[in-house]
Amino acid sequence: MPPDEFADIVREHEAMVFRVLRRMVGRGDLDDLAQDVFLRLYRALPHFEQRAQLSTYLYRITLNVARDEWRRRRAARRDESLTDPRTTWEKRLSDQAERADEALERRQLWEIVQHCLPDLSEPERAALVLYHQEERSYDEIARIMQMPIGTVRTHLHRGRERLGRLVQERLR
Amino acid sequence: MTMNCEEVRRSIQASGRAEWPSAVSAHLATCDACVQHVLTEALIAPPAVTVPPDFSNRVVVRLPENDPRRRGPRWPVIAAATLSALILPAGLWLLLPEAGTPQHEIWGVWYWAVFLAAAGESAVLIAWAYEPSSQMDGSS
Repeated sequence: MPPDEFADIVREHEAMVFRVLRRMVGRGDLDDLAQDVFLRLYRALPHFEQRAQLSTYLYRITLNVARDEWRRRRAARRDESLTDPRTTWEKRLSDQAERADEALERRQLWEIVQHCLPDLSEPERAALVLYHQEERSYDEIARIMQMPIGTVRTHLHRGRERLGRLVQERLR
Repeated sequence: MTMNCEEVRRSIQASGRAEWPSAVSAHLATCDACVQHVLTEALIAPPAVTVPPDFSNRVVVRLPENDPRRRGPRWPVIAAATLSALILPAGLWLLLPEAGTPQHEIWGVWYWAVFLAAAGESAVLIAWAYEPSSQMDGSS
């Protein structure tokens, strides 16, 4: 595919990729991750036969990049806690408390939700983001996440329940 | 001051993304229905992110066509490497001297065959690693 044509695809979908990444991985360098998404898409393009599938594949790639980043950050935190004697459970707990205080201080539900989202499992978070924020149908979410519709519904239901409980805990 | 569900929802709607009164937080902390209601609103609202204006250009610059590190023929290199790995040792085998040839000459031919096969295989592996793998879903 000519680079100019691919640039059009990037411009058409870049806002969606940044939105989903922001929700899935939180703050951080989204630019590099978004570039990674489109480079992976470019390499996969020769396998596409129908343009209509493009958004489904792009969502899937974005979720995969977000999952990889999530694992990388978790591993980095684990390494840090193993090598840095100052990183104790007390410090970690106080970090959590600071995050909660910060959110409470602002009293913005949007901030609190964003703080609580990382505590959900990856499929729960993905299902919530795709359904509510991206307004995808159950059927499309099932295709994106490559799981049965019933499982998508379960992740959505459990995700909402857990998120509700987490938000309430932060507000108490 | 306590608020009922209707007042809380009106208050949140009115405040938008601004701060809301502490009475709202107190109500939400105990009311499952209101929390679910506002969760939906919070999740529907897109997060505040800004796409850099030159983002698409930076992606295009990194495409394999435009990246000299990833440019270059891949299959011809692999084909040549495979041929060298298979045909050259086979050719040497055919050139093996007739019976009665000293043992050290036969071993010499074998050393060359093994060396060429190893070199060819290395070239295949290097060529294979030259371009990153492309999986359909971008998973790693």
